[in-house]
Amino acid sequence: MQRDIAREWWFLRRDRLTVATLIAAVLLATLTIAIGLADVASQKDTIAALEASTIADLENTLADQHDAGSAAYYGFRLVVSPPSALAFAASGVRDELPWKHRIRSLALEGQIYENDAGNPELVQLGRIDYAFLISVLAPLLVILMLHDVVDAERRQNRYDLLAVTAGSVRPLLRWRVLLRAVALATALLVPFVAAAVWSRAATADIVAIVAATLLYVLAWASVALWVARRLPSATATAATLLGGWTVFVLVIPLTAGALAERTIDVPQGGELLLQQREIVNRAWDLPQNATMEAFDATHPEWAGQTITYEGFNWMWYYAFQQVGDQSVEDISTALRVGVRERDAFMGRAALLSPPLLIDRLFARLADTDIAAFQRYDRCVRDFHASLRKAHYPMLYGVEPFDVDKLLALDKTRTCS
Amino acid sequence: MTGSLRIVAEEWRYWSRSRLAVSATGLLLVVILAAVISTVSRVQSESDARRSMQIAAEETFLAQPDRHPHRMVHYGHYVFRTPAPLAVIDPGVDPLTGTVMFLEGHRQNTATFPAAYTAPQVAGFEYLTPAFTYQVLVPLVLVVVGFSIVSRERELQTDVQLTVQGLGSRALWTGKSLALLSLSVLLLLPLAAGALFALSRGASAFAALVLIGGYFAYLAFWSFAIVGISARTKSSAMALLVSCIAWIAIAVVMPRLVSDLTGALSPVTGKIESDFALIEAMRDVGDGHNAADPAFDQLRANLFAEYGVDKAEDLPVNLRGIVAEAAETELTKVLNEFSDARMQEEQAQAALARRGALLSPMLALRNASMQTVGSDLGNYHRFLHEAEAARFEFVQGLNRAHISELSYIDDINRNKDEASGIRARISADNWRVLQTFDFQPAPAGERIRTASVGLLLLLLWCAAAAVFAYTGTRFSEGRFHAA
Repeated sequence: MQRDIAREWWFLRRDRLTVATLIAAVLLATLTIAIGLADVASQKDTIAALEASTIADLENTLADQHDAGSAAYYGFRLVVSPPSALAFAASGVRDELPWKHRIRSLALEGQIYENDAGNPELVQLGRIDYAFLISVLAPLLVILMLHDVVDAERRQNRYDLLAVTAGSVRPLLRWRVLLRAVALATALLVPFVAAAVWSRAATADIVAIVAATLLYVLAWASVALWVARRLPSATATAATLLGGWTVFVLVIPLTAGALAERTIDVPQGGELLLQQREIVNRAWDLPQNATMEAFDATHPEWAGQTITYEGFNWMWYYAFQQVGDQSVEDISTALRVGVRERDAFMGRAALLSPPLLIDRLFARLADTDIAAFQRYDRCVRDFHASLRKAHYPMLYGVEPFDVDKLLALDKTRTCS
Repeated sequence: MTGSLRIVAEEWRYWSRSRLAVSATGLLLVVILAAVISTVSRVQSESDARRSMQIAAEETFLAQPDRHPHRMVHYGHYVFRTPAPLAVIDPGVDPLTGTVMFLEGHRQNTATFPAAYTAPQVAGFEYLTPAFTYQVLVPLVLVVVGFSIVSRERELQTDVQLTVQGLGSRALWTGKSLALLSLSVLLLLPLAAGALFALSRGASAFAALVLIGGYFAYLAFWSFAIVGISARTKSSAMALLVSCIAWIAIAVVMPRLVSDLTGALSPVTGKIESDFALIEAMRDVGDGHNAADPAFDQLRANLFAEYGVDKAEDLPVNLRGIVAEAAETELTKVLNEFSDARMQEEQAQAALARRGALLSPMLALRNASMQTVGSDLGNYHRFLHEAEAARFEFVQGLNRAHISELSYIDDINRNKDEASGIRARISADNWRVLQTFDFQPAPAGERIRTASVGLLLLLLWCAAAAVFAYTGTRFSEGRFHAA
């Protein structure tokens, strides 16, 4: 075995295509990881700047307010989901879905869909992150490196000779492919492991990514060898493998995506907004009791409280904001359930497409998948609920207006 | 010429016998058709849904009962962005940009609910669109079908026969290129069908032609590049290797690299971040709800002087409405200043990314394609501008009604009791200040002018590849003579 490895190592070092592929792999891995780390650093800077501005703005704004109603109206707070330790490796949905919000006690459904997203023309081009390198480009590197592995022997007429002298070429080629695949995986993984350790990612997550990448590269390499043995030429091998790559990387995921969209309905966001506005605005024309009753139904702790309504009352105002949210709860929930079901559908489709599986695994470990987004969404909702509830005693007049108390509430919330 | 045509016919015969060529092209055609059909149906149903919600929003607004005009300012209105007709070919940034925006007084909201909000997450490549298929997949199939187009002749030494038959390098270049070009034309048929559909939905025929021309130029680039590489490499195996690497670099890696590097080199301040500066700037603008705000002292004094009165009650117009109107104008100036700055920043960043067209013809095509269709950043900004214009128009229309239709006395007493509240309402006829909103992309001529830079670069890439192929076939022939 040691002799096999030593011999193949000798061959590997002299194979120009393999060496070139390995160099390309190290360069690409380093590049994608450097880009990912820079991006994560800039997200962290953004969060730090936003936190500082939010705190200064809130202190500034609340100082001018004379009642709890205005304080709640003008008092914006920040909710963010900071990038995880592995976010540098998989940007996931963070380009497309929000991970930072300015929130106040008004109806949440009018605020939570705001997205401070990046330039759509850049987002549309996509990202070259580490997950993309592994799931999409690594198989191409395998094909590049191995499509000629059998044919090269045949061309040099060594194939038959080897078949005679070594008894069988099978173990020999197996060693060759194994060694090259491991070398490729190592070239791809070393920069990753270094960066992951540096960002203090969990060991279990690092191990999972290393194992998945190794398996994935080995799987493509075995398929490459299997195809190369059966086809007469390196070009036929390469073309066939490229066809397989196209099917697994593009055709299956994209078809599954289109199917998920078609078969799993989600409510139109516009409908939600239109309805929510209707309910919120109708309150102005309804007797205030109608609003307060609807509010009390979900807030029994306030059921006994009365408010003095003289054309306007802040508590009534926030009550109908809340009732507006309640009125679209069904649509809002259906929206999240629909997204979750579409994601589950893609999860099943991923069983047919290893690249999709790898991509989803990376995004899950990096907390940049749909599930992580929905956890963040939940966290924003919880924060909003705690915020408005903290204002109610002052709005009802049970407690006196106290700026310090409002300033003592979380000015920023980190959801992780 | 007949010699070249013979080479074309010969190539087609070769392809029809090659299992690889037939299966690759067949699979591709299926994918293209799926892309065209699914994109047409998605864009169309999205477009219909948004249009009907737009109508519903307008009807709801107009159906509102008599009210205090400022209530309607906050009741607000929704505008929906409908995609351009040619977006069935290239949706561009449409799925990533908000589709609906809430318009109200004193605020510029952002557009929310991009399709991406609920889209399933597909690894790496987001949507199976005709644009994506032609930009990424078709070149790969051209590579797989054509990599050996010249090298094969050399390997089989059939190039000797060609030369003996008096077919020189020019005929070889023309014939081999024409063969791949004719395959490209065939592959473009589904794109043309999609464009025809867009025409039936009101797309400009000129824009559709330019679009198809752009995609043809891009495929021509690949056809020439493949012939050139095949002619210059020692073996078919090497030709495949080199063309594949070119494809990976041009169509897969470069676009993403350009996106990431642009983001890192020229970051744009996020909206929440720049909003803090906006908040600062807004502190100096008076509160339009409060006619006693010192910010309006001058306005009030001028008005009193003009009408020769000394208190608001004696004015023939409603001071609160005048203050609201003036404040809205003032505040909108500040809001626009910030939103314009933001859009300019985004445009500058996008312009930097578009320079990637110098590194990859795919980026040249992609820019030209989105711009010709009207699904680029510029057209999204056009929507934002139009939505803002619509916002300002209906808010000020309501403020004008506030000035002339509602007396100041009734207005300030509106919260006294129910009867006063009713007196402080104006007729629902006034809600007709709302105009119908129907977003259309920029006119075709303007779109094509914007796209001309990308188109020009694409033609340059194409010309360079043609030269590369021509000199390559001569080189190939020279090598034969030398041998």
